[in-house]
Amino acid sequence: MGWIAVAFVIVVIGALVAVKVTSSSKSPPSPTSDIAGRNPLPAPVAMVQPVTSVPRSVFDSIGVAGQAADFVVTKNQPSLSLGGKARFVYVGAEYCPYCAAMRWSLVAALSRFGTFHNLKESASGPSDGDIPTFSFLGASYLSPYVSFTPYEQTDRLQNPLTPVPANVQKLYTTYDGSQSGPTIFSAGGAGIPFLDVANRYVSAGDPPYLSSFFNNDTGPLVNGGPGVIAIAQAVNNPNSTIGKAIGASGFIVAANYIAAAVCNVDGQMPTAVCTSKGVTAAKSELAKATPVG
Amino acid sequence: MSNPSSISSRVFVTLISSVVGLGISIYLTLAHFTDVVSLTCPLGSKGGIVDCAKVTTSPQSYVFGIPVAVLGLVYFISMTLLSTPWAWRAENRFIAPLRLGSTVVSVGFISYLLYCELYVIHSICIWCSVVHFFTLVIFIAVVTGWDEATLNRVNV
Repeated sequence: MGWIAVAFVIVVIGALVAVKVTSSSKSPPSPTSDIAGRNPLPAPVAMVQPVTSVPRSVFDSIGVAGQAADFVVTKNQPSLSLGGKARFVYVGAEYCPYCAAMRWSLVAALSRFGTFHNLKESASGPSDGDIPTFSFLGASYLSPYVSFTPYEQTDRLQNPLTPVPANVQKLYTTYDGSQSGPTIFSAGGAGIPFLDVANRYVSAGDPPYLSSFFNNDTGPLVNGGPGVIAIAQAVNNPNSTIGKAIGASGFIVAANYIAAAVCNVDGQMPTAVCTSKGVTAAKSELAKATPVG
Repeated sequence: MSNPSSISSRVFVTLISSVVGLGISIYLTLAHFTDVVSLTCPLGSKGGIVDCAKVTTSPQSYVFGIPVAVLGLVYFISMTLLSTPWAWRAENRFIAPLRLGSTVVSVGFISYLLYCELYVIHSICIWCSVVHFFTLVIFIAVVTGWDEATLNRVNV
C-alpha cells in the first residue's frame, strides 16, 4: 500500500514536470512570452507595502536634497483634467531603464494622494539594465484629487504595447518634443519617461536624481540590483544599509517633486501632504523656475 | 517481523533529510525576513527558468497570509523531532500517524508549490527544489515504513 502511494505521488510530480517540459519545447519564444513583460505577475505585498507607505518623516527629512527640479513649469497652457480632477499623464515604456526608476517614485508619491490596485512587477529591458520595477499594466489608481493615466508605449523588447491616444500623443509632441527636435518645453528633445501634471508641470526624459540607478549599465539597480523586496524596503527607509548603498534618497527626491506638482494643481489637497516639509521644499524649488509658454 | 536494520536506515534517512531541510528552511526564512541575509541562487538568472527571488517574492510565496518559508521551517522542525530514534521508538500510538500525516500533507503541498513554480511563476527556485526533494525522500521513507514503524518500534 505504501509503495502504491509513493508511485502515485511520483507519477503526479513527474506528470507536472513532463507536461511543462513538453509544452515549453513546443512553444517557441514569441513577443508575447513573459520575457517581453506583456503579462507581468502581480507585485508581491512585500514589494507594494513599503513603497505605498513611506513614512512622512522620510519624505520630510530628505526633501529635495539640494537637487534642482526636473519639471518645466509652463504658463498660458490649457488646463488638463479628467473626471473633474487634475490629470496626470505618464508616458513611458517597459524596456526603458529611466522609466523603471521613475515608477518607484511615482508609486511612492501618488500613494499619498490615492490608492493603487493590482500593481505588477516587472523590469526594464533585458539589454536595458534589467532594472526591477513596478508595472502599471492592468493596474488602476483611485484618488479624490488627481486622475493618473499611465501609458507604456512598448514592452520590454520594444514591441508596441499600450496604444497612446491621439490626444495624449499631442501632449507628448507638444511638451516632450518629437524626432524633429526639441520644443520650448523640452530643451533636450523628446524622451521618456514623459510626465505631464495638468499641463502645468512637464518633464521629458531622465531626471539626474534617478539616472544614477541605471548609469549606463553600471548603476546599483542593473541586472536586478538587490531585488524588488530590498529595493522596496530601501525606498521606505533610504537610510538603511541597502538604501544608502543604492542611493534610494533619489527616489524620495523625485517623489517629493511629483507630490509638489500634484499639490499645485489639485488645490493643495490633502493638506497634510501639501503642507509637509518635504513637499513644501519641493514647491519652493518649483516656484523658482521661470514659466515657459 | 521486520528487519531492525531496515527501520534504522529509515531513521537515518528521515533524520538526515529533515536536518538538511531544516537548514535550508532557516536560510530561506532569514532571507525572507531580513535584508542582512541575501538569497543566493545557484544556477539562477534574472527572468530565467531558475530565478529564486522571483519565486520567493511571488504572491504564491504566501499561503493564507503565512510565508511559505515559515511553513517549511515549522514542518522541518516538527519532522526533525518526529524522526529522531526516540520518536521512532516511542510507544505513544499517536506519533507514527502524526509523522505519516505530516508527510502526506507536505508532499501534497510541494506538489502545489511545484505547480505554481512551473505554471504560474514560470521559474523555479533551486533551494525550494532541494527542499522539495528531501520532503519527497521523507515521504517515501515514512510511507513505505509504516508497517515497520507501527509493529516494531522497540527494535530501532
